[in-house]
Amino acid sequence: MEEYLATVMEQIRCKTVRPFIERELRNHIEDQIEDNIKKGMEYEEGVNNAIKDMGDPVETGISLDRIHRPQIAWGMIALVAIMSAFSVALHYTISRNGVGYECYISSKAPFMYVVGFIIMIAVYFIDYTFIARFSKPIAIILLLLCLYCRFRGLSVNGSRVGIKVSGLSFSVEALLMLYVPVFAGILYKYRNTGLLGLIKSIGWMIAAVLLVFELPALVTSLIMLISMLTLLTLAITKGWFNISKPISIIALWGVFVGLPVIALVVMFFGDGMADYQKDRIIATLSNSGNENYAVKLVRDILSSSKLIGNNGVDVANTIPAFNSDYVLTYISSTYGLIAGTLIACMLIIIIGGIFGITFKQKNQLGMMIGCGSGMVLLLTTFINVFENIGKFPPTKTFLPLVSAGRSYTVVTYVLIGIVLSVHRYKCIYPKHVSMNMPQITFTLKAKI
Amino acid sequence: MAIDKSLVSGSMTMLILKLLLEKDMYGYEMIDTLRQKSQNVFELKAGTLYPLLHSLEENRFVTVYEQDALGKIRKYYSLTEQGEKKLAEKTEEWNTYQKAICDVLVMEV
Repeated sequence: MEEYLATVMEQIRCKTVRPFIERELRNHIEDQIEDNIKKGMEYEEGVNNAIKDMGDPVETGISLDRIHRPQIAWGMIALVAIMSAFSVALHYTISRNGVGYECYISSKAPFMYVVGFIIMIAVYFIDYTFIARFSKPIAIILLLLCLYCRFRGLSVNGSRVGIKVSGLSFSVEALLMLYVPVFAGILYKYRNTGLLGLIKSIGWMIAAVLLVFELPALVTSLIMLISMLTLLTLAITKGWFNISKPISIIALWGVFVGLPVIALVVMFFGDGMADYQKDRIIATLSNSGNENYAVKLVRDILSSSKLIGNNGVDVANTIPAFNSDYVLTYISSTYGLIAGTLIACMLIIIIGGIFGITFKQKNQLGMMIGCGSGMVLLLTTFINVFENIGKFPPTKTFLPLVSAGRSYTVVTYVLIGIVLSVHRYKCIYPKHVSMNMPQITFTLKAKI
Repeated sequence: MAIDKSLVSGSMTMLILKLLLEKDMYGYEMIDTLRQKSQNVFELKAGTLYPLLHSLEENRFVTVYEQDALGKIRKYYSLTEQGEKKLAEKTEEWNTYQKAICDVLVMEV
């Protein structure tokens, strides 16, 4: 039997899938041997007949190898490469045609985009179940970094958002976006632990959201909260916690979204807000009135933009962070509304592709991790696009794969790399995976 | 009487899907049931069954879950909605094929 199994396994090139197939074939052979013995055969004869009934091991192995191969999402890689090439060209042009802080940042962007792309490919080769296996230590490191940043971080406009390590500064706010796919791994570890598991998971969510909120980084904490609530909802829907699905989902969203919204409404109509805050909300929602300066500027530039070509507005010297937060406004103003719309559509296609990959997964951990990465990119894009059409108050955001900025660029590529890794193992991992490496388990057994 | 392999292989997907329409099964159970139902005509090799089952799973025609049975963790295959549609398609295809063969054979007689 061992010889037969070894021959089959030798044909399967992907080592990760071997233990799963081996267990199924071993069970099959054992069943056949038992039946053969029941029919009156001697043990030896029963084994030999069972192996004979299995068929040619080489042929079987080759057929299984053809099915269980690592997958490459060529379409997604091509789309990301096209977007990256566009962004490299865009930032190169910005840096060549102007001076100032933004142009300096843009001059570094092409290099960061190339580095980011390489990082994405590197992450693609990492087995995504690694994130789940080490989810808690990774989460703790991220939370400690956030805590350190809160008190000792680099201060920008009153926010402590970054840390400097050996002369290289990076944004902890951006890095914490990676907490969401890690949280997916934590959720997976609490699978089948009932209400207590759900409460512990919520604890991990609150810890991260509060720490990021305290940086202060309101929008990032909001993106993380909505993304993690979506993951929790998905986990409840998939029956990971064996609790009443409708009640727990309503309670979850009610407590973390419903109550804050009600509190805001009460504050708005009561005396809980200053008049200027109320005016800003009304202006943002009604598209008129006492608008914020940046919002008005963006709306004016957008309304004067041509369908194709430059509208003549010197965006680079008008809007701050025109190459990151307001990069879409810059593109629309400099190259025309069609160019801006095309970029937004490309991003929507890429994010749609990410969710396509995610929901085609049979492995629930992969689906959850992919969904976490997709949610962060979706919400970030959504907020940035709305900020760029003057429908969202000015805030520090970025447009994935387009904005300049070292940390956000790297984080974007890591998130996409995680999704590519999920796709890579699509035909390899079954619906659920053990959090212990199967190979290690087998080795230990053999030694015992 | 032994049946030509090529005659069986073309309809194997349909037969497996049909078995799973009745109830969820694990691999060995499928081979055993098929053997019994066909009165030993279909002697399916495990080496043929598992690659077929795995490709059906990749194409989402079947889904898999594990269940502890008598101390052994068994991998059960279950038909999906997509699988049911595929079975209907395959059955229709088979009926057309079978009718055509019968017509030709009758004509020859």
